[in-house]
Amino acid sequence: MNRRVNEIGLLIQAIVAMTRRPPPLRRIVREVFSCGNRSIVFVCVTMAFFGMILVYEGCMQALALIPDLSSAGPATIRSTIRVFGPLMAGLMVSFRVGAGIAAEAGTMVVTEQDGALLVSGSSPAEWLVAPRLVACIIAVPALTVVGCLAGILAGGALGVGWFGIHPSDFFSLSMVDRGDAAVCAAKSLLNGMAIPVFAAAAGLNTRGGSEGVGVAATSAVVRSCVAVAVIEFLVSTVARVAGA
Amino acid sequence: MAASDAEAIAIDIQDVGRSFGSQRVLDRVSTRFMTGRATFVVGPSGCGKSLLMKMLVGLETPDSGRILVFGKHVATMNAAELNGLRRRVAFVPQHPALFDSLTVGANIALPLVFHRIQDEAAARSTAVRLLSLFNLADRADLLPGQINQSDRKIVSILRSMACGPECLVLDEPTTGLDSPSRDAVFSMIREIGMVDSGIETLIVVSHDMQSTMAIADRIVFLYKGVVRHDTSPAGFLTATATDPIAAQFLAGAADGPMNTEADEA
Repeated sequence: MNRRVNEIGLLIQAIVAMTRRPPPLRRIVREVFSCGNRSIVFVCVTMAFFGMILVYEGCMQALALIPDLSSAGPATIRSTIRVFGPLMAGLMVSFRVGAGIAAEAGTMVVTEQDGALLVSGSSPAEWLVAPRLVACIIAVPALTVVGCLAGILAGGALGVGWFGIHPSDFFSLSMVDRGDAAVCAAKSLLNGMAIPVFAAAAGLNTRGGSEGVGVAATSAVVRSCVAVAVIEFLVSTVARVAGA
Repeated sequence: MAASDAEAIAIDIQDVGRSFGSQRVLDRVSTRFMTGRATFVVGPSGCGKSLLMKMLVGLETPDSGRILVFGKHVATMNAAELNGLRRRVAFVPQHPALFDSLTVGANIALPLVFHRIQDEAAARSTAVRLLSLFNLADRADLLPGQINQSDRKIVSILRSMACGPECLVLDEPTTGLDSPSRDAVFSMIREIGMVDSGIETLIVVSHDMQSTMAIADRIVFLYKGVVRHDTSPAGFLTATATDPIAAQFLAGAADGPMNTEADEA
């Protein structure tokens, strides 16, 4: 194929393909399981340590300035829901799933399956991207929620056990409002859209043989991570401007 | 394939050119593929054969010139028209390009479902029927990884035949196969004209000159992106008497003017 695949074009093609012929339910279920199952332990472990780091550093700084840790828990919960949960879950899924999607897409290009799909009346957007797009839109928000819970619980265990914060103080939702939940939902949904599209585009632009597939997989991870960071910044900024 | 009396132009290639950077891969290529004919496109590696075949179904586009398939300009077709074209002109890539997660039968059924010609159950029956034409019905439930290379190539060809195309384009169908497997695939290609496949035009890119001379109605010899000979097998044989490059290619000799020219380039 001689045309370079761009992310926006691929997303539009996948959405158009889905409206023409929705991906089979069994493929979506398989992809959700694949994406979620491959990432859940990774996301939970990473978020747990991240939550503990957040609480430890936050509490140490708070103790140095004001010897009051009553807001450590609510602040941790808010920042986890609003910022670190969607960011870290997005990055983890990019590492775990993005490279796999790019490698599959790259192999399709190298073995001419992309051409075979086109002459069979389908397209890589329909075959490869559409089911994964739906799967990631379901799995990434779910992983974000689970990751947030892991981070908050692990951070809470450290706060309560190490710093002696009362559990009812730490796990208070006094600083969390609907706006934080909406920001978290928006970021994780957009991450779920961006990761498969950026990864598949990197794979479909593979040139050369197996070396090209390796380059595409690396490029997919880098591009997906950058996309997650950009989404984080844009949604945070828009939410602040909108007062959320 | 038997030549028909009412021979018509299936594909008309007019002054087609294509470059990659400074490299001119196809240079003002003009030829015609007629219905009822088996045309073999031959030439050394890198002379633009595969690129030209991909252009026939809109997988690649020329920089200059035009390709008319059944009278319609491929480069100006929209997505729906290209889909229609790909039902009439089936293209089999160099690699079998089968989907490993699908059974052999499901792979063959795929274009029937994607083109909305049949539902999955009917498409599956068609796949088994096509497989049985070549005594491969027992492979229908196997995965591509469980069958041998030549069967994979044959399945790939059957998948492209599933929608009942009028024209079949095979890009180096015997690449990477050992001698018995090559024979099996070429024997299938011979049979395509005999079974009730509806295929009127066969275009094959090949390096195998022995099979080419045995099966082809016409030979297009591409060399350095230019059509050097466009003739019958007998005509090609005659041309080798005066053209040392064609003679070297036909003989498959390691040394000769093709190497000298390549070294000079």
